[in-house]
Amino acid sequence: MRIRRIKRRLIFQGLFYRLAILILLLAGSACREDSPLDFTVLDDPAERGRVDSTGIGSLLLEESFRDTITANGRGPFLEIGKFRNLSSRILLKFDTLPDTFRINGVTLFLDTNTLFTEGSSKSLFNATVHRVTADWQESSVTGENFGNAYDPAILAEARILSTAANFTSGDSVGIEAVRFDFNATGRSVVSSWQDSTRGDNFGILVDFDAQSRFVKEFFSEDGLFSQPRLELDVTGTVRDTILRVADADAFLLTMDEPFPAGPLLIEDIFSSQAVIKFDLSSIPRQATINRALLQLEIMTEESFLKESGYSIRLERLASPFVPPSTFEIDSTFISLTSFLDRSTRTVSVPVTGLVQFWTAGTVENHGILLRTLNPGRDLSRVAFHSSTTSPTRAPRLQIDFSIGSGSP
Amino acid sequence: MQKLISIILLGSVSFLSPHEAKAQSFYSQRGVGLTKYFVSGQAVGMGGVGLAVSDRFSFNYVNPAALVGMPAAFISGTFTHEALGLSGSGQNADISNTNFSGVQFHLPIKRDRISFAVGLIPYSKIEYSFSGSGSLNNTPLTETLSGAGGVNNAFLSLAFRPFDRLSIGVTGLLYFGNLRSIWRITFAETSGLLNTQQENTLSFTDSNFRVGAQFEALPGWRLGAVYSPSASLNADQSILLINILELTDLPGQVLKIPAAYGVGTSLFLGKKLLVGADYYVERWSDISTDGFVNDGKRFSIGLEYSGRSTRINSSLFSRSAIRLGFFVRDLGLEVPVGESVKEVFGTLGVGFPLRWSASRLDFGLEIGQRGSLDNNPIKENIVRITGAITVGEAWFFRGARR
Repeated sequence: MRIRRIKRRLIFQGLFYRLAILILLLAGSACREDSPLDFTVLDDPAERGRVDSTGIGSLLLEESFRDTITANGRGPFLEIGKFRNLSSRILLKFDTLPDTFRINGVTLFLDTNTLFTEGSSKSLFNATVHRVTADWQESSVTGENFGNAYDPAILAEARILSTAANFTSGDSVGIEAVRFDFNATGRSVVSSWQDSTRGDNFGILVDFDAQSRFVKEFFSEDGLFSQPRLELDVTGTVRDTILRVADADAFLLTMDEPFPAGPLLIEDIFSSQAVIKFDLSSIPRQATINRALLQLEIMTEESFLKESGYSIRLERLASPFVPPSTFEIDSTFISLTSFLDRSTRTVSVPVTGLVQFWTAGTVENHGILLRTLNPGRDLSRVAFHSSTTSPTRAPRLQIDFSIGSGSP
Repeated sequence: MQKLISIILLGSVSFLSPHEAKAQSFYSQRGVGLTKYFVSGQAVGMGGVGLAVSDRFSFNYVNPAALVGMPAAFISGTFTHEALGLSGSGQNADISNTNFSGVQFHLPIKRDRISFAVGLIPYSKIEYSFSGSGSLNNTPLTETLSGAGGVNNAFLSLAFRPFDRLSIGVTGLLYFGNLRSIWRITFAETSGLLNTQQENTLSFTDSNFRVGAQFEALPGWRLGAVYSPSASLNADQSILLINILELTDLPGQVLKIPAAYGVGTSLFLGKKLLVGADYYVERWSDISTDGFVNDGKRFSIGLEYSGRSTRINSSLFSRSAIRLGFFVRDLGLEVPVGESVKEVFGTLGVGFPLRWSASRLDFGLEIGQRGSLDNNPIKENIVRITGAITVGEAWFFRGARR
């Protein structure tokens, strides 16, 4: 009897023990159900936070500046002519020619890409070819350091027309090629390039005359197609025609007058760049930036854009900008790019992450640098409205943000 | 014994580990949240009466003076399951929550004279969740606001009995924990807008103390009292934005805990029936913070019927207990302004021995209501089950020398 009682007690204990374990396991799993209430019964509406939008137009810094002129010898284009305040000439160099033939005739071909011109009125100018008298390197020569190291004697000339690059002939589409036929002096100069001992093969300069009112853009030797080339009519064992592509080329861009003051200018050759810095003090530090768009309005009358478009780059400045042109770029920041073409009127660049770090104070706001994506490429430039040109069209930040209540 | 201790410790780890609260009480939005009043597993079934009760197997979390009556080394763990039905202002919701809610270890330094205890127990809890919809420049959005966290107490108690009928205790309290609110805005995926998640956290660690006393005025009639002063918890504030940006150099805040005092009495009617009453006050009116403008007051009455047998061959029933109780509590909150929030509960409880004379399992059932639709925006119907496991062993027991 006693043993039976003890057994029963032990069984009972075991049951309780297992029950205890089960209940504790349930507690450990901490099961819950979720059923939120509607905000209409929130005790203190101030706990809720708010979402808002604002446009920031207040600029603490807005400057355009030029930096070191960019050598363009490695670029894909060559420019010749005069347009607005800019003038450009072309340098070409052909390495030593073989001396196994006699040169009877020389023709230079330049294939057209596009025009930089005002409106659609037609015009033309004469381009002339001259011998260059001092050495140059395409990686470093610019319109500022070349000087006038060429012989004024004309070796060849051609008419440059303000025509489109492509033309149709029947069912085919062709690229316009400008042709320079060398005269006797020109042929003599080219023939002298067969003598490798002379050491005075510095290439040729293509210049323009005073009639020029536009710039014509040709393909350079750095492209895959349509490179500048000499067609040589030669006599060796038999009469033949040899094509020789240029070995080095560049265009010499000079500024006849300063760029217009006022707009924020971004262009490829004179390293025109702009710095802007917004006043973000109106955005609370604990705000979440849901979206921030940098909006820049294009000043079309001061912009030169090709049909193929133009790309600009945004960099974050790592330290304060020191006028006239001292800046430090944050190399850890992945630069943003934006593409625009002739139809673009407003550029919108998403800068959400950058503005978030600025407002939270994680990184210092020293502003952003706007510059070309392709330095030394061509004559293209984009001008944005500034506070000076039009306060209502100056750069602005459109920010959507949300901010919760101050504390739990 | 060792297995049960392990399970209790595992459960306490569950209690300490962070949980994202999804269950809720509407009235936990304010200040440090809803304060928890838990005397012991035994007291739950008695309406919370326990300030003047000293039970051999019952850990008293409020009056440290009661600990000196425990004869052996004990460890106790407590869990709570709560189910709420919210209604009011055109809304209905059902929520449930289970969690570990206290652990304590007791060691008699000198049996019936000096006792020592350490433990953990939550002091308050914040759990709420709201949602809604809106738009930003015609872009639809959904918005949620939830609160989580609370104040926890780690404590160390010392109790001693200078005279046979008087016991005194003191508890050192360490408040710790964090209060969090999480605010989310979710936009449509195609909107191009980044979603918002802002998490505000107040973290704190601070200390306080509580003193308690029990006096046996006559055999079977006991009086009890406790007091703890107010405390100011210096909290560090941080804000986490979209889970990646943490702002920490923010001005801190001071969270105020009110002074509290309580008095109680218990009386044995015969050997088997124990009756008692407690009155406990939290002095929110002295600090008037964040909606808590009135004193929180709690009045409870309860009884326990138990054979209290200690004989080896006595029945389970004679060693078990049945409990009944009732309490009303004014939280000290006014929601809305001018309308106080009250709780009214009836309680039922049982206690079973786990092993012969060494351990006990207590269950308590509380059924009641918080808030009233006549005065407050939300009424919460609450069913709460509390379980407490107390396991004891005779440590450092010296037998008679031969």
